[in-house]
Amino acid sequence: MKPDTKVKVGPLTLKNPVIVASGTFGYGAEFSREIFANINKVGGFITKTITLKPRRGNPPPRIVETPCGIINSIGLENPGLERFCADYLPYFSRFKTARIVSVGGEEPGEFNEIIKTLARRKGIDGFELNISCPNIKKGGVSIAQSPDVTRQIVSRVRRLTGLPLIAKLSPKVTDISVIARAAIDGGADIISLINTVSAMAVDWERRRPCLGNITGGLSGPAIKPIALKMVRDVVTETRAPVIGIGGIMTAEGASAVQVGTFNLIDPAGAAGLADGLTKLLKKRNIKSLRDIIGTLENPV
Amino acid sequence: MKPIDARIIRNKPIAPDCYRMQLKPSKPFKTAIPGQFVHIRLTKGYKLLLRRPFSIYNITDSGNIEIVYQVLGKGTEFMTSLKPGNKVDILGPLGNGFRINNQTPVLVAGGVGVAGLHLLLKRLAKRHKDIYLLPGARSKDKLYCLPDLKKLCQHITIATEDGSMGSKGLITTALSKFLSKSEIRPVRAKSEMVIYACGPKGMTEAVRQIAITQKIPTQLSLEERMGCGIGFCRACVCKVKNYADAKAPACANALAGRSAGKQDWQWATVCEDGPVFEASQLEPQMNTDRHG
Repeated sequence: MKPDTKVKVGPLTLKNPVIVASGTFGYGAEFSREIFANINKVGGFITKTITLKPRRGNPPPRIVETPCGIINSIGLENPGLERFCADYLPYFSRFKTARIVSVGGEEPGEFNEIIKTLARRKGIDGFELNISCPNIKKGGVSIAQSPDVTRQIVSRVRRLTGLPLIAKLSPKVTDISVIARAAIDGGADIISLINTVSAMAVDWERRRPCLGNITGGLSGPAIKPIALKMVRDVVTETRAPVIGIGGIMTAEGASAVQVGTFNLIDPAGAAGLADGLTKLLKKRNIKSLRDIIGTLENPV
Repeated sequence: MKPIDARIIRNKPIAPDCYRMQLKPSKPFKTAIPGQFVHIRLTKGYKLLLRRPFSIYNITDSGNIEIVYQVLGKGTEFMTSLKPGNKVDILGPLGNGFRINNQTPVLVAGGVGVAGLHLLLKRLAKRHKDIYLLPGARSKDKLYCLPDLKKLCQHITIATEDGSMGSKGLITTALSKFLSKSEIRPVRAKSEMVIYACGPKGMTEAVRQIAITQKIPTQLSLEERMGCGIGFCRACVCKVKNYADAKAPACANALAGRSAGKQDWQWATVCEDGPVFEASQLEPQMNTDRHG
């Protein structure tokens, strides 16, 4: 019998717990048939972050490899809300998976404007509020560093939509569970964590930083243990539904997760994880993934 | 786009710091366009996480791929340890390559940039009697693949920075000198020739400036630090003129619909919109080369 990989995360029901993270697959337009099919195999697809106005993003180089990770500084390059609705949403809404739009902004009003417009459009199953981008000068991670601003932004957006709201948090805080609590108090249904870790790399021979923007966000296997600890902090302190993000490259250990860096290495990778998970459950004789979510025990 | 396995057939040094590798993909390559690249995942481990892009140097009759790589960093260092029979995982052929036409071709290569021009030269040799090639490098030992190039092209002008072979100086200086002479036989006007260039950022930018000043149709293969290789992550960007202003037909299709409104310039991805661009489409490029 095929094991059941369906999971429920807050109000979201996903056919499997593998979600492609924001920024790794664009918006779904211009996909080849093969990639389209692969995305339909995963549990959810989160768009690259949309802001109210188009953003050009940061100067290159925008990516550098570091031990077991990569640092990127794209800088939220995106076509803006208007063009997203006109040129990309018609494609995005065709996917047969949970269709989640990532929304970003420099100030609270921007989030409102975007959600107000998108809440009227069909073909969207939820929103992820990117309040934790480390690569923009205003807004970004500074929002998720303040419980007050986090609560304020989430609560204002909450009034505008009944769709599932995910708050994406940053690891760059003293106690992430405080921020998670603020997001839940504001009305977020789900917490996703972690966004990339602020980082830099230098080319000592040239006496230069490797990235055009000097600093960026670290992702990949290097940050998985950090993410895991923070997921535990949030779950034990708030009991909120959580989507884990950071360094997921194999099917083992997955509950509900977003896959980011791995998509850059293998465009068919996330779909492979979804398949791999089914095989893993079968091998371990687990009938339903829901049976093992939240069963981590403390050491005796 | 699904990655496929490729087995190493040969991996041998052709210069002190340069190797030539032949790979046998699980599905033979039949259709690569000169200037396209393969994106190689070297290990399934976490150490060398990102893929590495390499121009397709050659495609053998049996559909094997050849690449030529200079040992510059951790990835290429690791590659030198790969033995025949070892497997890697490749994506490709990727990107928009060179466009071949009837104009008299002038090829300019900087260092390992010859790797990006060899397949082009091979295809051009089938339809052009006179092809002009200007390879340049720091020194004689970094002029890679010369024997291969000499088989395909009679008019070769060499420059090295230390003067150990050919004229002393940059290859772009040699190009300016070459263009000022009127001895390119079948060419009466500069619009009757086409420049193809591949090399480090400083060099392709210098060629772009020459192309614009002298109004010579020119195609440049650009380099940039790359992530996914298929246009999704938007890491490897270069500055191009706004699509509405860019008259060159080159990557018009690739850029259509991506114009960011009334901006005077926009980013294009080197991996998907390029790596080959018309010089007339490009804005001045910043030189952010790691190796100068």
